[in-house]
Amino acid sequence: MSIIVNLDVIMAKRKISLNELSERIGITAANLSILKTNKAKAIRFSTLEAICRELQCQPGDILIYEHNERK
Amino acid sequence: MKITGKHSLSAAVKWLILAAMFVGAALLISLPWTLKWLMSLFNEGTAVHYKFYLIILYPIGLCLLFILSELRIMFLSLEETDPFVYRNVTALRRMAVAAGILCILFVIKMFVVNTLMTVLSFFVFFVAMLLSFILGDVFQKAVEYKQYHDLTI
Repeated sequence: MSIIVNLDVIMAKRKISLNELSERIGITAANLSILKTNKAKAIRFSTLEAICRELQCQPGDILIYEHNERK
Repeated sequence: MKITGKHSLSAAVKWLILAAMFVGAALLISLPWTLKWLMSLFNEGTAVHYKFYLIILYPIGLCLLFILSELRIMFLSLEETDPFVYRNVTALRRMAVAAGILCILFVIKMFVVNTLMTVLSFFVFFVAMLLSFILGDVFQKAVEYKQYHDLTI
């Protein structure tokens, strides 16, 4: 997929663990792990909003577009 | 009454299918003797007919057993309350192929020994083949939707 989830980098910058973030935003650690490892097909605005609120960042810090020839 | 899940209607149907499979397998194994007995009972057919029936009934029986085993797999997933898996798409497509083979076998039988039941069986399995193919496609779309939904965080 051309959209890369940059969550692990932001989490490392904020020094927050996966379990702590999942508790704060109210989703399971398993689902957050799917998001972190780029296995997710889509992301809800509510999830994105909660992540941005807790990590004090912008959606653009988490989601990055990389041009990919292969589909 | 529960339709799917444990101790439900689908679980009961699963056992019914298993029973039908056992009866079918027993009939298939004892076919040479059962067929001889049935033909003598109804005073019907010759030795040539006997051989033809034997040759045509074995593949028909095997196809039916195969359809039942695939149906059982589908009902097993219904018991686990998640029928939207790729295995069920494969099961429906396999059942469609088996129903198609049955149609061909019934057409062959129509040309040799035609009965009203043969014609009816042909139409039943022809419709079953079409339905299985279409349902297989519908199931595949449902599985894709479910995966998309599951991977939306």
